[in-house]
Amino acid sequence: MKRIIHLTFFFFLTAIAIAQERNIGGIITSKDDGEPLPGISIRIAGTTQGTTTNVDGKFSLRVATTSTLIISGIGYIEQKIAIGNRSIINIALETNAQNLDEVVVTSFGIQRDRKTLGYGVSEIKADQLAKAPTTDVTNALAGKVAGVQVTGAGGGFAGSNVTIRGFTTFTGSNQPLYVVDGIPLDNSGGNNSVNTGVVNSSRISDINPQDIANVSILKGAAATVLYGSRAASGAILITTKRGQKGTRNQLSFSSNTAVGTVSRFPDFQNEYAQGSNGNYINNVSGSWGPRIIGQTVTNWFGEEETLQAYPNNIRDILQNSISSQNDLSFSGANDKFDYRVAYGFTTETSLIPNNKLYRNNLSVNAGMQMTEKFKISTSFSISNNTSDRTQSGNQGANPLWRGIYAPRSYDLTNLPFEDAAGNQLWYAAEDHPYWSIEHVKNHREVNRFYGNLNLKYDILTWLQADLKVGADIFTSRLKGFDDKGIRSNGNTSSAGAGGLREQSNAVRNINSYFTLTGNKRLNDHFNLMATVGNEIIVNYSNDLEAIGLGIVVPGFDNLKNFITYNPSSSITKQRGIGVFADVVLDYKNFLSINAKARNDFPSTLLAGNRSIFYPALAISFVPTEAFPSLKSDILNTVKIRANVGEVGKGADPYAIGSYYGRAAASDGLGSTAVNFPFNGLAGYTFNNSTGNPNLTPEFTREYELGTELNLFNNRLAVDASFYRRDTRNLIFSVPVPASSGFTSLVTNAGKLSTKGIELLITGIPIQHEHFSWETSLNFTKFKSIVKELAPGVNNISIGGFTSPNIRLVAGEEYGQIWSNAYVRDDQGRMIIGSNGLPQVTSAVQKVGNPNPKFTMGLTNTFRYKDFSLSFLIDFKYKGDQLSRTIGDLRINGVAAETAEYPRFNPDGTPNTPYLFEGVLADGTPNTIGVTAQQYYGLQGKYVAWEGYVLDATYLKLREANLTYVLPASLFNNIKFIKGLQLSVYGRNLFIYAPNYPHLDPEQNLLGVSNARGLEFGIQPTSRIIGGSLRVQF
Amino acid sequence: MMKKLTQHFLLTVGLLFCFSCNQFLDVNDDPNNIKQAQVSQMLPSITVNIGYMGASDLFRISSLFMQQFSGHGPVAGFSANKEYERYNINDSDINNQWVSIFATILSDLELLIKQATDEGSPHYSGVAKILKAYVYQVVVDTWGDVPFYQAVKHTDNFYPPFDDDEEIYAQLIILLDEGLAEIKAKQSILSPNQYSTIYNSSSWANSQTQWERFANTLKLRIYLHYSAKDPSFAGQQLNNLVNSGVPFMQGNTDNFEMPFLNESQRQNPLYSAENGQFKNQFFPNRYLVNLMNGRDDPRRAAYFIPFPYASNPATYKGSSILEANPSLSYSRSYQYLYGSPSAANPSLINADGSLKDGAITFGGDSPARLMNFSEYNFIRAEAALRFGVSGDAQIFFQEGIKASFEQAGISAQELQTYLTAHGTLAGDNEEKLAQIITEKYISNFGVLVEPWTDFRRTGYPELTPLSQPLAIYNEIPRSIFYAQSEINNNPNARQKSSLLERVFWDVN
Repeated sequence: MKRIIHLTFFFFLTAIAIAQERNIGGIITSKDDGEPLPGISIRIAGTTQGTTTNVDGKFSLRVATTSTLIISGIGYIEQKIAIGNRSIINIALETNAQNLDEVVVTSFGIQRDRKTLGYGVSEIKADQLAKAPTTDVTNALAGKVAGVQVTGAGGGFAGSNVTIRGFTTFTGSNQPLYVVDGIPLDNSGGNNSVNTGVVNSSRISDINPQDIANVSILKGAAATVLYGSRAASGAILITTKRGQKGTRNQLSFSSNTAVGTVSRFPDFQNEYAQGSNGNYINNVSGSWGPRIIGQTVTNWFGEEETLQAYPNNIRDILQNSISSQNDLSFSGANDKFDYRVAYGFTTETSLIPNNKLYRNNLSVNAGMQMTEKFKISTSFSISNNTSDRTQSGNQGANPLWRGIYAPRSYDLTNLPFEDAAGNQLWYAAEDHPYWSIEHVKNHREVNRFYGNLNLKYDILTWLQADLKVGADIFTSRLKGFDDKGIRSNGNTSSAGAGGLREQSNAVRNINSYFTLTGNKRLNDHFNLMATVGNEIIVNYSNDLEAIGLGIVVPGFDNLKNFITYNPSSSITKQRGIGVFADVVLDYKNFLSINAKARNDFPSTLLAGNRSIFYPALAISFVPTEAFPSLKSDILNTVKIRANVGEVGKGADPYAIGSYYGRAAASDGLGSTAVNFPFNGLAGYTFNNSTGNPNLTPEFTREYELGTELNLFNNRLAVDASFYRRDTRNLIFSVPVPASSGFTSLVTNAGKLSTKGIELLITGIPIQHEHFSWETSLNFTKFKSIVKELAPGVNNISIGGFTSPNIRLVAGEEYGQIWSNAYVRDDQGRMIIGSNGLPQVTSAVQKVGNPNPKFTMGLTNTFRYKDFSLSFLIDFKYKGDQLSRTIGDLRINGVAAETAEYPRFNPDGTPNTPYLFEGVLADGTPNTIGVTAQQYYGLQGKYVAWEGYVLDATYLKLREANLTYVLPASLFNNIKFIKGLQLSVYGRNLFIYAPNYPHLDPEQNLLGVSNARGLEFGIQPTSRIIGGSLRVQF
Repeated sequence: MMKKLTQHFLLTVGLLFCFSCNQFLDVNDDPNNIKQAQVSQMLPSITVNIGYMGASDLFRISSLFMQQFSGHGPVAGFSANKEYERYNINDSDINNQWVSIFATILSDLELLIKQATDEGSPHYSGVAKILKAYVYQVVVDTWGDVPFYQAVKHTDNFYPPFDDDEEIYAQLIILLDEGLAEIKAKQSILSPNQYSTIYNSSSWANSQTQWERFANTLKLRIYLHYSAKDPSFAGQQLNNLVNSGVPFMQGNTDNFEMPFLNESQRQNPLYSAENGQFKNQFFPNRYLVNLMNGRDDPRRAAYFIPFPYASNPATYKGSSILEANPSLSYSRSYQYLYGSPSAANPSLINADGSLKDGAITFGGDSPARLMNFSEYNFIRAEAALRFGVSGDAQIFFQEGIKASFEQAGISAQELQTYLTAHGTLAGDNEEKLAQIITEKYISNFGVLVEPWTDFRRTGYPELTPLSQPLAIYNEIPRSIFYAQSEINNNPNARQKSSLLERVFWDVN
């Protein structure tokens, strides 16, 4: 009944409007440059009628005299104009700089006025991502967001480790939850195995960054509480591009192509040949041989050769990398519907040959206002992602692991690396770099669908129901092939026999959200917005793997071509139900209180422990609105925000039971294994990790205090947050002594606490009609302290080797580097032996802290007429890294500094110019000089892993971009082109790392895991220079 | 109050949404693993892991100490074997071995003993007890005090106390007696037969005999270890045991060993390590090679590859960390350790007679040698010599050498030549003991820990320990650190001050 009245009323109004219509027209220009703006939406307020400006910025419309026009366009401040008696309306639109009036996207796409938010949210817009495009969106975050640390794995197509506001958990994932158009996206798969395989990308890499309109980063617990457990480490909300209102049949094309060259590469010496102690030896590693003076030697092939240095013998392995992204989209929208269909094709190669990435993305966004109250929309994406990678990590099939210290006198480039039968021709124990590039393969193909269907219904003018069902479904197929004669682990650890790893994973994650949102103005002073909703999660994955060992026909990479097999399979099911509520009460325009709560019911806990309740409260206060007298030209707006929130978390699947698993045997070096079935017998062993039926949820509580200031006529903005985050009752595998029969017990224990500051300062120092300079500085500093582990447990290893490894130590910062160290006296002086060399401790200790003191990003954008130039400088201060590669370069005498002094005196005796600073056993200062080979040797500087630890402070010119937007007037005669933009860009253009020689300090053996600070086997990184073209038709 | 109300509200909403929540959420039973295994599936895991222990971490450590192997080769960079050779072993280096022993082998043995006893299969529990005694004998000889009485009780005791090593030793005899009684039980629902990879047989009668002989021989080994600390006890027990008439090992077919297969990832780990990631990092040591060179020992042909390869007569050269320069120019291990060899590929032999990668490949099907028949003979020889145990030391000495030659596949004729030159015990008892232990050291090439135990017990063979500053100590370590994981996580554990701390029987 009520509906009918509504409808009648609506028609009545429309009828009146038609009765008093007339024509108006005008031109919309940009206030910045006076150029006409095409594609600007002109809407009649309160109706669905409207139009858009043409290429010349002109429009015409029939309107009622009483109408108000709403003129809007992306990137411009919306204007409302009462028509009055005018028939020509010319408007200059102002560009929308980031300011407090902005609307931000929070949980479930709820759009909130930034002013009323009681917690910090950071945003990255499409154009910021597009400045220096990356194929993996995680790499594009580096240096851009306050409160977020991005640690690259180095090289290849690897993604980055993203840590928001420090660490929240010990052994579980500290990676944020990625949510695409409201639906969580699976981001598994970024962990690297230490001794086998390749550097992997996490699955967020299936997204095409070109489809992203906006990235919104929810940092604190109060911000993420509605997303529940999975967002305990923060949430990254990605909104994909939709058709822009007021455009019709818009076709756009963009293309980026970039070439990468190696950014940092070791400085080699080219003076001394292969060998040791001045003797030429043709089958050992190390360039400690004689000075190269053109003498004749017998090489490893048994041939006479004239000794010479090959300065580029290693660099020649590398090629230029190429990346290219081509995107075509077709879009349009009006008040009834919107659509965008986009296809993207991305291809990338790496510095090391035989690394290739191809990605096809087809994305569709569409929405339809079915009735006035009912809207259906969808967004989905289909991606096909294939990659070929060479091996990485701490193993000989990584082409550069030992290749990087090939003897200076070895002609790697021209000498053959295999014989006719494919056998390696190489003096060393590991694989020849060229052989492994050619014969060890890793191919992955992912086919993925993710998307959602969204139904919205306006039950009442102030009450809306919203149902969103999302699916993320993919299959991933891996084929890792080690050809016969492989000398190292490769993909399968076949010990020379050759192997094939075939892996197939299928993942199916279904999410549904139902929310009811009411938004009602209670009276002149109060506005209430309330949301209640539920979430249902149904996740399923199945993995099937077969490893074939013992190849029959060399080079034939099919499972049937092997003799023994290790098959395995697993199925994982995880479900959850969450219910939540979010209430915002606004008082006038300066006070806003937001209360939230969620209750989760995860399948992974026993029925009695399943209910996890957690609340949050956030307050925002704008003194400049409350007391307008505070406002001045200097101080424009002040906002203070404060919040406290909690997030609870369940366990991993199957952590509540104890099981027998298939037996195997392996050693401490990770070098060999015995697998079952063995000689026809099955073997089962009681698992070392015992489950715990009594698990209860883990909680993270966060307090945040922040402020947002706008100063100097909005030319300077400051956004600062201080926070403290405490995690308690952590669910983790607490190590127990092996003598109990178990090695770990999953239990609730421990406390972790993070304190941090994040700061964003944006300013517009210069703003003239033709020239402007915008600058933005973000600063991130946090310290996560492991307050306590479990009773009786002082430290646990979270990654690495038996030694060195990365540990959590009670009372210390998260993730310390532990290894053996130099023997020192009480005063900390190194104790030097009678041979002039340091000594090593038998116990392991903390030798480094990989956590930076702070990180900073500085972006500057200069605009002159149609040109804009911007660059991003990324600075990381402190943070240790244990670099095996730099150690190896010196141990093997190939690094330039090993030939800093002549190695031999004129009479041929060894020169001993090096002196270890320290004391002899009797306490007197060491005076015993040693040779370079001793100094840089395994009983010298590198006697202890401590010696490999370096400060990885760096300053990077991470991105630079020069863009020219061709003036629209140019296209007056070319009807089909509406806009054209050209850019040149670069990434990683310059690296300054004062204490980290030879290599790019951004390297992380363990990839997207909690452990950072180990570099074992480099992946060279590229310096990229490219160009891009964007055309709108 | 507010919080409570909200919680109630949410709960109500939650319940309305879903009546059968618990049914929907009950998906947390792991479909990929089993809650209960059968004894016939547990024993293969245990025996394979014991074999693996016999040829991996602990073997490398103890045999590098004993200068049977060297980590020195052509690799200039870091290699764990090079560090172990100079006694540089961290507590964290031990983690894997310790975990494998306690959390896999002993843990499963405990469960197997209980399950087999409950199910009425004493043949299984008997075998498990004998294996447990063997493992603990190695563990005590390596570490000294370790958890025993309260060890591997799983959830019943997460933090077992450390027990006195001498007390544990006494318990091992009891364990062996129980094991012997149980394998002789008339009734057993199940018998291991082919479900053991050690003493595998289609007939229980055959396996049972071998287990019995092994258990008794193991008792001899254990008693002998008391020789330095309490010679009269050792003598008395050895006498009693021999006089009791129980059967001991009778030939190389009784060797306590775990056969590996010529199949990828089922090979002897000594070979797969050499053929995989850690190539060229584990060479025969020049002390052992020179010792055998000095005796013109024909077993070198089975143990080592000649260097230079084509030398005629074959010559052998061992490596040592004392060598100044990295080098590949040494003899390599041969079929005795690595299994069936291929023919040598002449194109992969370097001019100096060293081998390029793949010049000879192996099957990896050699067994992990845990206790040999030759050792039995050397035990009897020492028992006769020092404690007057019945039997002739000279005869047992020669039988020991003979067993070792047979095991290495050396001809009877070469054996005779060798016995003629080196097969006669001569001099005073101390000199004779030196002869016995030195021969035992050569025969126990590839045997886990026992050569190190003999050295600590008797001081033979007379090798020269490395010294500082190259080495960490001026003498050969007397035990190894407890695993760091144990020290970190067990409040009852106390780390050793150095590797010079001794186990209870080590008093020389």
